[in-house]
Amino acid sequence: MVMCDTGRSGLALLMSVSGTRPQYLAIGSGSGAVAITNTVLIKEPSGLRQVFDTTNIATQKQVKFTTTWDSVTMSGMGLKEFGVFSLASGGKCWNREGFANIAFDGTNELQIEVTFEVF
Amino acid sequence: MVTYIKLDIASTTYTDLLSTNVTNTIGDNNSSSHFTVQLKNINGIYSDTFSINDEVEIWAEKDVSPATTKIFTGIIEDIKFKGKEQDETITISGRDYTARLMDRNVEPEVYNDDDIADIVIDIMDKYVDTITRTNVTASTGITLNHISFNQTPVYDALKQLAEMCDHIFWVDTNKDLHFQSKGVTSSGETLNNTNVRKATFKETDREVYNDVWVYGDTFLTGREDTFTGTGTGSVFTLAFKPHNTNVTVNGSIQYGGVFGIYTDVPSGVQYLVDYHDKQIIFASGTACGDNIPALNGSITTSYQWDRRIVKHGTNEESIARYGKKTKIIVDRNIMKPKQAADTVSQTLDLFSEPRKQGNIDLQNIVYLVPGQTVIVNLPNHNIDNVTYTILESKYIFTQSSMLSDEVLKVKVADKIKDVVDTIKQILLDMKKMQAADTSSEILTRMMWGAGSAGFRVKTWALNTNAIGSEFIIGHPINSELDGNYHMWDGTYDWTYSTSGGEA
Repeated sequence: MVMCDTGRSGLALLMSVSGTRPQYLAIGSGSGAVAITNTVLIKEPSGLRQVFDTTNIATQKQVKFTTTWDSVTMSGMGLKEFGVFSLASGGKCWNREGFANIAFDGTNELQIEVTFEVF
Repeated sequence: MVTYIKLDIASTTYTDLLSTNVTNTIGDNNSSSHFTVQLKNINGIYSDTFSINDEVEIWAEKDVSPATTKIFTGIIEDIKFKGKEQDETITISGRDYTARLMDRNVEPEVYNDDDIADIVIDIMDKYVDTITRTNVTASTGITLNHISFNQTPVYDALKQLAEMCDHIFWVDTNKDLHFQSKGVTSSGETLNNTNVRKATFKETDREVYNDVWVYGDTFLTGREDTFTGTGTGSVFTLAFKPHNTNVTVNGSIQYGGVFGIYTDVPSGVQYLVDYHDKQIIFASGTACGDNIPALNGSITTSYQWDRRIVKHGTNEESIARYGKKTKIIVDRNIMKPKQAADTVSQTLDLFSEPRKQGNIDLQNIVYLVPGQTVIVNLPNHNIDNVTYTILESKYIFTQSSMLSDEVLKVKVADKIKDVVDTIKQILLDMKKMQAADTSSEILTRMMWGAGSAGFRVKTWALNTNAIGSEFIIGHPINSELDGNYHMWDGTYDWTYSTSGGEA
């Protein structure tokens, strides 16, 4: 997992008036090594970016975002990557995570939980 | 009577003491309370026991063991080992928490129209974090029109404030600052032939000052002097000694030089400035030509002149009795005339009369607190029930002194300056001179923070939920209500799929 350069810049910008907080989680089917220089997902289908369902700040110095996709939306997708974005479409990712393929055949729904921490 | 002592270092009691010396003092004395303890270090038993900054607590008591009256709280600042043949000792020493006042500085601060007690409280709150200030008097009744500090040690700032309102200050064994009027608290003891083993009293006029001059900071202000040319006169006398002169004749700027520098005034120089005689001298000569202003010519001289803050005061009664004794105080931190006047008054109040100081060796008394008062009745010294302030208490705990009740010595009355105080004053004056050059409207403060911050994804998790036979509108399979599918009951049963992160 990787905290991208754009994410670090995004955090610094948030301390001024020009930053935009992360609000969306995007999923994709592209595979490729994650890198600190990633700015987008390798292969992000259009229309699958979701706004966070919940934001949890119960733990100090941490924020946890949770997002779900239903079985119809996920049906037929081979999920291999996801990332957090500030915009509903386009823009640059705060982080990008890659993993082995998870196949969705219409019989299962997806939930992603991501916790950011300032340490 | 036997004196008992108890010593704790970092909350551990030690009993194998060879000797212990404790000196408790108040701010008047230009030093902090301090201690020295010597222990036997047999086979290096204490080779790594003590550390710099360990807290030291000392109790003393008469005929009670263990002792219960705390006489000192401080920290270890020096550890010394000494060994010769079979004889190994370790000596530890340090100061009390007054050291914190000496080690911290009052950064550039200006106080206007504040009671001295409020200034003390503000300084303690801003610059000293390990000492409380519960026993700082609520009000001294003296409001200072203006006082400024510039990188002055907190200790010296408090001492200056204390002298201005005839107060004393010290840090007690509970790490609390006392700032109170002299003579407020009595020890309840009378020192006389029942408890004084030896006494030495000294009275001197060495520090009598009854003619005081105070020189503060200097300000430059501008003025303009005008003259009319006579056609022959070249010398024009100004009202004050000039800085940064600017001379015009009939509106034309003249170019100046310094009187006394040239043997022959060079070309281009039209007038000379004689600072000490306050004169503008128009030059005429072979090289410089004739620059003397013509008859009825209009001469305008703009310049800046020094306005030094100076105040002077005398105590005529003291002068009549002891002769005139002059003290000159030069302090560039004095920036207002009222502050200079206050300094003159305070100096005359404190120093118009001779100072008296006594050193007394005691018995039958085990504890006297510096800052409190004591009545002294020693007729052979011409002292008949006079109340004095205790400046310093010194305890020497050895086996012999504790058994023979010769532990305590005190210093009472007014402090008479010695070489140490003179050197201290010289260093302080040098610091004030150096600090004056550091005053600035814009101050850049650099602070190195401890630690750093990072930003990361701590954890992430992907979970899936099998929809089973739930009815889902729009689903290619589960959208038919034919008995095989049922309405979703509203709950999820998320199953872990994969995860990652730093944790």
